[in-house]
Amino acid sequence: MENIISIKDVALVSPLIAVFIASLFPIGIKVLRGNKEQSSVITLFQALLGIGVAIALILTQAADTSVSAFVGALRFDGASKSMSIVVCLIAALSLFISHGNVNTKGRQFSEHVFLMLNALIGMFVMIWANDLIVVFIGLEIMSLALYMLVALSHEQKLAKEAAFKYFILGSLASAIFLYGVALLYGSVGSTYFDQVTEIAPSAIGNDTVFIMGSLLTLVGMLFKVSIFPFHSWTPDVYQGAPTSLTAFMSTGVKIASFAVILRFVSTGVISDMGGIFEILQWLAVLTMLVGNIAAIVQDNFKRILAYSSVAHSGYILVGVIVTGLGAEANIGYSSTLFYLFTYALVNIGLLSLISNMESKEESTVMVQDLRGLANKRPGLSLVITVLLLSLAGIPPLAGFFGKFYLFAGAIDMGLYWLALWGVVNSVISVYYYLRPIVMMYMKEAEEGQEEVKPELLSYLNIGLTFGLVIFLGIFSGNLFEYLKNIGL
Amino acid sequence: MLLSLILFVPVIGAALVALMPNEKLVRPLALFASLVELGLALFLLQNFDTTTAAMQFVEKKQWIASFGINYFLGIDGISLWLVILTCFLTPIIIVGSWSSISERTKSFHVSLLVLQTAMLGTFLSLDMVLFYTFWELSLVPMYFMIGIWGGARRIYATVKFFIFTMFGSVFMLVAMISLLYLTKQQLGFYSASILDFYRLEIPYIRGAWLSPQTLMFIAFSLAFAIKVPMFPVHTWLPDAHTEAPTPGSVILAGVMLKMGTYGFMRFSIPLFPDAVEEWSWFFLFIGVVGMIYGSLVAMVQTDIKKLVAYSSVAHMGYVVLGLFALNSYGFSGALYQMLNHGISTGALFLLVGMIYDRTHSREIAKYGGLAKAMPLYTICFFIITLSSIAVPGTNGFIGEFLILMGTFISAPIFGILAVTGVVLGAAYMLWMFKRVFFGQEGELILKFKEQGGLKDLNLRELGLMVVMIVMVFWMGIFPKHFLDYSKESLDHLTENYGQYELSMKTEIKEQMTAQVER
Repeated sequence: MENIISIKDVALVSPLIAVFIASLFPIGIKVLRGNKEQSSVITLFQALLGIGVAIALILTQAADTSVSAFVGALRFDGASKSMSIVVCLIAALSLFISHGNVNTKGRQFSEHVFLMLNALIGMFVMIWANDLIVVFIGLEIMSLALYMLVALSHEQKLAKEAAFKYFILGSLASAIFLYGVALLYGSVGSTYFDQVTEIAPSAIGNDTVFIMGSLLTLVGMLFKVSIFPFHSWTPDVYQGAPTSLTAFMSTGVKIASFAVILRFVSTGVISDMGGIFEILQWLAVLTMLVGNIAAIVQDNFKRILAYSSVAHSGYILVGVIVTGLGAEANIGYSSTLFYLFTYALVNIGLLSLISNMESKEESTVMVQDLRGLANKRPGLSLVITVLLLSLAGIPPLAGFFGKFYLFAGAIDMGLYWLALWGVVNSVISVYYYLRPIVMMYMKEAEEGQEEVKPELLSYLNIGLTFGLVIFLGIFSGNLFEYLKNIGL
Repeated sequence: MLLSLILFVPVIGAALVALMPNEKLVRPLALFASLVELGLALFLLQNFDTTTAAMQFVEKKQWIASFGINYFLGIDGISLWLVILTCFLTPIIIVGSWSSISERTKSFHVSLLVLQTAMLGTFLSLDMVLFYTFWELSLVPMYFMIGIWGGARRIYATVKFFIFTMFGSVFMLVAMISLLYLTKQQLGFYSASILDFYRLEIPYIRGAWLSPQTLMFIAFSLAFAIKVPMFPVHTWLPDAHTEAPTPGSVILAGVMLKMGTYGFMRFSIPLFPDAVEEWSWFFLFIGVVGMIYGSLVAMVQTDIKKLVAYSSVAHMGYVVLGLFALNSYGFSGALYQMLNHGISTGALFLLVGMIYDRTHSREIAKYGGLAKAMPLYTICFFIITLSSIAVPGTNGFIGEFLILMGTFISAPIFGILAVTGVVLGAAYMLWMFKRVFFGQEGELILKFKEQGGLKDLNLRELGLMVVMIVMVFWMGIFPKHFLDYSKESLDHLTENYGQYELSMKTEIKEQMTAQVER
């Protein structure tokens, strides 16, 4: 193996470098100006410029070939390319929300942007990683930035609690992950995904160290995507974090973590033997149930979305299982990615709305605050309705086709019962997705409820996600086909 | 092109209505769109080829290549009349709600027109996924119609409606995906086309619950049974009907319930013939139970609208009976009864709406002696009642007669039971008629007498009723005018439902085979 880092390797990670340089601008300028904030529009512009350059650089990479860099520690292929672009977009859209949100705008916005971009860097590393240790580095870069981001919220009580909770549980998850990696190293003698793939078929049946290692590694990652029973931090953290961060965490973090999970299960650690497959199946079913049932009884809009995010992780886990079992024609990971992307879109749209409704730093947006919105803002209500129906999986919106592909994958592998649990759960979830619609259209506004204030960038988010949800619904075939043809 | 046009004219109309700045022009514009649509539907009727059972006016465009899903439309003798019915009822509803829907008229007409597209889409789709798309989509506008313009318990009713129907259809989704994989296995390529599904040999083991055909049959039938609705999954219907505004009830009873029975005719019976033959007794049984139960419950209702709603359960029981008699009388009777029910129950809901607009009460006990106060209304109500209880000469008679004949041929016991349903049907309708229109003048009538009396039907309402009554007698006296269009398709279904195949008219078929070979 050639142990020299070539210029080509550096070119491949250039998006990361671009984002990092961009992240230094706002904070650097702030230091040079004697700790005085520059105009937030300029800060935002610098960040967007960095993200834009990163997207452009990613687009220049060849799409369909798989290239390794840094002695095989990073791997670039079609899937990583599409995921990196999507997390870039998510970071940009989340920054749009941050710019107008009461808890992030104004003071310390430069620090906020700096940390957001560094979290994005962590996500890049996770998405590109081909080595469990590199995954860990990416995970920590991302998580440390996120802990601080949550704590930076202008709101004083819930955000601090959330940051602390997230930090403690996140560290625990990291520790479990590392322990799993250590066990895997003991069994495989390497932490590279390729090496794990080579050993897996023979080790999964009888090597207890290998099985325990894989399981703990998975558990560490499942924490991040809030799979039951590792989901308990989710509602509190999603509620306490500034809304833009909730958007970023429930979408970007999810995509990056599932990227790792998908790569890890593709090595063949899930199979009929070893028991991991059974455990994951049950976790998927329980996650859907717990998320959906808990969401029914919530009134706080952010908590509803938090539990719905738990439930959606359960659906996605079905796709992960299908991927891990080695479904034909790439249906496993292409359906998973399709689902992740469409879910991310809708969530950003809805959280932009919530951010628009927060008038004070301590504001908690309840579903009841949407009462009578359809009379005041018919256009906005229609858009929100479409987003909610997409989450509920009503055709012809993107959310429906996401579910269609996921369950098609499950049925292809003969996992009928997972598909059945999935569809039954989507019926349960309809109940709480309809509630905001009931509030908007079928109730009258009352005194003292939160108002929706027009905020240009958030409106842009909502409009954009609305358009994409319909477009990706009607033309879902094209994106799905594209994802199927790229390699993982 | 024609079918696409028919499918999308309402949505285009809805978009125009939504963009219309002048609230006053909303209604005329919506009416205009629905009349254009009706014109197109009649043009379709005129050009319909009655000599073939094949799918006509076929359109096919690739949609989702990886699963062989297409934008695939076509029409035959079974779907033809349901499309016409939909296009016929929509302008009636718009005129019927001219003065009763006063709030948010714009949203109302947008919902109505979108709903029309969704319903037409379910009848016209020849692709399973496209069908499912429209099937689910139709829930959304109906949800808004009940939830926004409905009565006091509207939110409960509309959420129940949505969740009930969706619960049924998700199992169909799973079965549908399994069928997709089966086409890959048996035909060698993915296809979601119904015509390809008909060609499948779906594995079947007689008497075994777990044979794929039985399971898929159950999954499909559950979706359709909830929509119809069949006893015992009918409970959403009385709630939805009572709370829905008049136009919502008309469209729900008139067309949406038919989506279920159409589903049986288009999917369940020809796709899973072995399972159907094994389970037909069960469907005949719950069909009869639905008839008798619906009639008995209707009899004790105190609310006119709820009575009509339960009569729907009974009438749809007939349709199910006809379908699962599995002979030509049964099928044609079932199809005819679907149309009848659309006309007569639609008209009944309109009539109930008209009196409700005047008195704001639907309590039977508060009426009595209405015949003197509103003679024209009484005449219309009486004729529609006759149609609903299937008096010879009205449309209802033809449908019920054919269905009973079919049932007596295949399953005499259920035929005998069904006849008691006919008697009960006459009983509750006539009893209700007596209590509302004759006898002592009720408290409401007296109250209005003091205020100058109830106004009889105005010209708009009378016009609507005349149209409906003309249809009642036309369909009752000249059934051939209608059944001739469907004869080929129904005969084809009767003879071949065990080995059902449908071809496509015109040369598109050759193009298709060429595509498959390539």
